Amino acid sequence: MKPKHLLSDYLNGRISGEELRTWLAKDTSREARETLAILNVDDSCHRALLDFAPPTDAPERLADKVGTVESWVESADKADESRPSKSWLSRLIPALDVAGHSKPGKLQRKRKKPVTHKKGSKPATRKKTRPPKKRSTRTKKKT
Amino acid sequence: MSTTRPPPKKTWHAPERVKGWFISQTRAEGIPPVFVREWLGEVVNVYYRVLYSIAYGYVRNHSSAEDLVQTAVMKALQAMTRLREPEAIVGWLAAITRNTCLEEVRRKKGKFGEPMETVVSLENARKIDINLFETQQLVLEAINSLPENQAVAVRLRFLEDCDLDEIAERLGLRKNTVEVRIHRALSTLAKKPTLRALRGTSQ
Repeated sequence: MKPKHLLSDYLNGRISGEELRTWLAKDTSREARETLAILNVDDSCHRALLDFAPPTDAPERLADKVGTVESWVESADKADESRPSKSWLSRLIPALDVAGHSKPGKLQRKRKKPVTHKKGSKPATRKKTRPPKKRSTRTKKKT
Repeated sequence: MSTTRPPPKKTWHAPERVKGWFISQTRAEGIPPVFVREWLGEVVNVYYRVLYSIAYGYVRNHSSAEDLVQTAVMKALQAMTRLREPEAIVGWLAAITRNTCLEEVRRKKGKFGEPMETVVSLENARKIDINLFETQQLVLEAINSLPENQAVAVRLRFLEDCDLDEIAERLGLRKNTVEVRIHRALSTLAKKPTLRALRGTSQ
């Protein structure tokens, strides 16, 4: 049997890794060596990732929150507006913070643009809001 | 990372009601109904390990990986109406997670490194071998370097211990397609120099 077919059998679970190894031990062809390399990498990756797991109970909490998303999305969003908005998502992510890593968004004030004058033009002058005082029409009597 | 074994396999099918919602033309954009969200929650719960492994392979940082999975699930929830086949949800979630990670890596220019003290404290807390810790990172990075369609099949094989039939079912593909993808992925991984060293130590 060719190594290619043996590998297919192994991937389909018809033969075990050990059986495949014993079959390939008899074969010295390049194809057999390549198949053995594939078997080895499959085995070692499988073993390495066997213990890999997320460290917290985040999956259950995330799943629960996905299910109950409506209770924590503000009513204004869910009223009649069916189209999702960017603000919807930006409010959703901190609310979903199961891991506790998201930071609240900071309010940024707009900077005032510095007043610049065009070349050759006069600087802007403050308008007078108060009407100018009327000069008294009275004249002092000469004594 | 705990030293627990992977959770027992769960039978996975989209309920008829959920399938009906996906088929119906009347589904409006916005937050999906409760039964669809509950189903998504179940899928996330079952496949959290796979999604987390994608993120961890990119950022090498536990807290960032958790945040990225959370963001990806939220994006998926928002884009639920665009998914055509509920059978393909695992691959779809994996693709969203991967894209979210790539965006974040591009934004932060790859500055995700976990400080060494954190690594050591994690190691002490979970009683795991530091070599295993590094090995897992190597393997996850190697898997992330594969094309997406191969990577997701291999992840399901390694992390969820699925056979070809189960992978085909979860990804909405034919069994032969899955076999070819896994074969190609394993051939590529076998040629990686980083994994060659790992192979030498594992035997």
